[in-house]
Amino acid sequence: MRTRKNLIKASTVIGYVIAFLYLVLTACLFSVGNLWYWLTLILGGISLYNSLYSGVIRGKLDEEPLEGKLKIKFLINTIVSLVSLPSFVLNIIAYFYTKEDKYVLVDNEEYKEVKKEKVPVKWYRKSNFILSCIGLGAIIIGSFVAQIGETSGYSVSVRDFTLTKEMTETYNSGEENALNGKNYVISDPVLSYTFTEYRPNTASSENPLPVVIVMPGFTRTKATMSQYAIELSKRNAIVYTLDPGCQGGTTYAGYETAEDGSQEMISATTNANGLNYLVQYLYNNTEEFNYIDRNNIGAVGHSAGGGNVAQLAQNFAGNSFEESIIKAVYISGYIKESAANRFDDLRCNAAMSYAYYDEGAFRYQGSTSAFEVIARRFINEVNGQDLNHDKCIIDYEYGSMEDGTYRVVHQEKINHCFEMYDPLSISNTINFFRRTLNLDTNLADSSQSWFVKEGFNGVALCGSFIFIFALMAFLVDILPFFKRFRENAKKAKDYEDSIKVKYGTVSVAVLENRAENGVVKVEKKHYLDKVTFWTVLVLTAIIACLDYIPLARVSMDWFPDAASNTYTFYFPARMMNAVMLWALINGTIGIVLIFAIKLCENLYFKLTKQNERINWYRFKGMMINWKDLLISIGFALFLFLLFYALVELMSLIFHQDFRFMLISAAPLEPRYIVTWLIYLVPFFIFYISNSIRVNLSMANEGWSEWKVMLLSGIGNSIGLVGILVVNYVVYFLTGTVYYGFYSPTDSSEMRLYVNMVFGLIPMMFILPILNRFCFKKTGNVYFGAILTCMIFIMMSLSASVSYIPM
Amino acid sequence: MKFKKKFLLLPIALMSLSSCSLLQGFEDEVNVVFEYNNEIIYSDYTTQFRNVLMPTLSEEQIPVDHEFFGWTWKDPDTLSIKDDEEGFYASFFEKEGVIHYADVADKAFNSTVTLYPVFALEADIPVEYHYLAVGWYQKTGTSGLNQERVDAWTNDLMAFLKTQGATDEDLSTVLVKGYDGNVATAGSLITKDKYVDVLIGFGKNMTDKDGGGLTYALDAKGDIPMGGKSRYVHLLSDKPIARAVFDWVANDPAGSASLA
Repeated sequence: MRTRKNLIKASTVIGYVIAFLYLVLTACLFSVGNLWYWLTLILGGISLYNSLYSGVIRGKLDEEPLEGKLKIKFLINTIVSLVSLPSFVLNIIAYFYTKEDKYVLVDNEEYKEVKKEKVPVKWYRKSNFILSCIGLGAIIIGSFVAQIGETSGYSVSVRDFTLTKEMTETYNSGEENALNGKNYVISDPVLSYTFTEYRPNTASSENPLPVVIVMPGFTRTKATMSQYAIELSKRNAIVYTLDPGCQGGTTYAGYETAEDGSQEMISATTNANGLNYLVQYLYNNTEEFNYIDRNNIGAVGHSAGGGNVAQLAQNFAGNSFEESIIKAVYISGYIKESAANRFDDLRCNAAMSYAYYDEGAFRYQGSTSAFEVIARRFINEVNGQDLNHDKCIIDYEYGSMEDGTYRVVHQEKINHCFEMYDPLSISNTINFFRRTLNLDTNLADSSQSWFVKEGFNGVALCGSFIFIFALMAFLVDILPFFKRFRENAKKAKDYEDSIKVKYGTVSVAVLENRAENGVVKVEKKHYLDKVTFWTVLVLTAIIACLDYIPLARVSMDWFPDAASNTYTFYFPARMMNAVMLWALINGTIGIVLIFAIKLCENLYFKLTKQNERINWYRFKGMMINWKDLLISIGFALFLFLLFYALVELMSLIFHQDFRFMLISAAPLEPRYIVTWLIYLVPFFIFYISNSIRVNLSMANEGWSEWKVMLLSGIGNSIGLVGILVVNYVVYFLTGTVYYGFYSPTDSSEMRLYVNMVFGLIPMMFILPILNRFCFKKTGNVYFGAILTCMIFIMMSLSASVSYIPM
Repeated sequence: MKFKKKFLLLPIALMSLSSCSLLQGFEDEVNVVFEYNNEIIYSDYTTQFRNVLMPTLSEEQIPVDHEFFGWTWKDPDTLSIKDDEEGFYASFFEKEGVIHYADVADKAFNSTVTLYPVFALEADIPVEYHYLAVGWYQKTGTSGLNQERVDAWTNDLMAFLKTQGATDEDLSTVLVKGYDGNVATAGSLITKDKYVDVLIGFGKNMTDKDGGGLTYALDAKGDIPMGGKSRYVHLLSDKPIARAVFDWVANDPAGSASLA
């Protein structure tokens, strides 16, 4: 019997896997517009439900042999399992298996487990306290090592400063301060830019070093370009990175008075996104910056930042290489014709790179806009001449560095948003500046260490979450103030344990209030329960996958100011608006489904006179008294502030934040705090929906805890993964992303919204796990939702752009 | 240690992530060969992520009295603009720009597609049909005409054409096109287009023997106010409607009111 059951179990597991593969195939076929995706969706559904039923049959084999009606049902199930061939084979073997097992399992009614007495543990020996210490240690050690990485073993000094109107008035205005006849002065005092300087210790007035300005792209902060700063500064270049307008610590640009007296908005990207101001300021401020070599200034920018540095080089070009303030410019990930039209005006050495798998290339396929055409212009339009090269050979060096006519084009095999983290791409950048600015270094271009900071920032990020949540658990465990939380948590646990015992997941011994004879009848889950659960899971994942981009499109219409980069207090975070709508809609759908299904279920039980099965726990589980709710809000706020206090502290001591690639926890800025307040409530609906789903639905399926967490994490993120599957399968088949223009008649660009999904997926995976953890400690669904909402929304906003007029 | 299913998670996760690299296997390559006079003058490969730049032909490579249209994947000797205009225009890629993978993927044999230049005798090239085609001098500093003025005049023109019996279908083929550059450049473009019936905004030298512009005009009249300047209207074709429009602009104040 055991072998037969094992065969059926194996067939069930394989059936689930194949159902999943069918769903992936469905996404692939859907993405290429192949109508066969309906078939694969149906086959996936059949495989899934067939496997569920196999599990039910397997459960029944505990009570009865495979004979009569059960055998017929199994036969039908086996035939249906043809959709999953390996499962079919295993089922056939199980069907015809006749050999008797040596041992047969029986319920041992007399079994009594010896329960260990719980010994009170000192507070400093409690596991949560130890864990919070480990988390704190990870934060400190992670930030410390990241600092070592950032400063290249303290051979580079790193400091932040802000560029203001006043500073530019002093050093950028007047004829005596003009650079090639130009003055760039900030006009509105509200505008200030945040910069970071990476200065090698060898830089001094006696030994001025070359300078490289590093510019990030749209929605990115200067921290995301730190890898360039680290590699160039450790090779004896002074590096300045800055936050673009309305991103990071840089404010909005303000307004100016037009000729007719009206107030006109100054674009956030004014003056090459602040680069003009910075370069002129550095160049003229000889007292403070007497350690920079003014004859060796270069600039590199990625994506929109690439356009900015091209503009910078053009603005300060002068009439010759000798006159040009910018001696070397590296344009990465930007091939718009507007930038190409500047090539002729450049009077410096230049390099261009465009990722081979750049998702935005679909916009540039015309006879004047294609990469190959732009690259050819890049090597031909040099110093006002047309050099007549037929085509551009990738990586081939054209011209000469001595006279500023050097040109090279790279095309690394990476995609757009990860190009900044590609070692080859960084190596090409290093190589360019090392040679054009004559950096004094013996380090090989491929000898890179930026990932030390990146990796250990990630360690600090993980440590911060461990610390906050472990501390939360510890405080709830020991403080009398949280007594009611503990009681509620215990009630919830007892209820969940009773379900686990009911379905045989755990031994009856876990129940403290078991019956005298210690026997509890183990039930098998009804097939319809499983069907309902999995159908809802798959359906909500599909909805989450399909509605993200349409809602992103809707966000452009509903929030037109943010969509058109206009300053506004009305939902000013342009990219976050799409995520907010998605969260709102899917969160609402989730809540409606959870309760509607339970209502229908209870109604069914009432109509079929199975009143003993009617269960209102899901509804009761949402109830909370005002005092507990206020405590939840207050405690969550305290932990949120503590989280960001740690970020501030690490920033002050080690100059580090908790940013790992596209996931960021940066020091708070007033403009982001206000933006955060605007977005909290709409997003909260999603977070509470998730908390209810995982704690009042999934956790009551009778599964072991790790299964609950895994499934809830997958369930919460699989829809977003589906977006990437659809997008990139089409991309690699056709060269054009699925989510490029919104539709054949609507040229709104959607690819940036897909970019955001990369950072969202890990957060969505971990969210239900954190919600679950909080619920197990507090017994209420609100606390975890409030805390995670606060932290995740602030993290998302600080890594995005906000057009709030602050 | 007892084996637990959760220990499978990490290897499954790693396998799933690494399977993403399989997507690169979808990349396909087509070699594009450009052949001229049975000689390969250029070749390159295209993929879903890479285009091929079209080579340029020098003046010497274009046969005399022929126009170079672009590159065809068919046998160029089978293409005739005179005999099958529609088929001709559907059988080549434009002569400038890039070739995309999608353009040639279904035309390749053994992952290679060979392209041949497409020429047509200038005399065989049919004139693009327009009920009426008007060319205007787009060099605003000289002609006084700008797009705004011309747009307003075009509205008047359409109304006038209706009074001359033009149907909606006729009106849909009316073309008002700007020509920039100096007289020689503009003249060369107008000659190349062949279908222009009337010119507005040019000077007398457009059809002067030594003017360097056009060598033909059936009629011309000057002193017509356009954008504050005194300019000419030229008649280039013998179509009755062209003559009617020429007379309207030349003699009827309403014909040039919007141009003034």
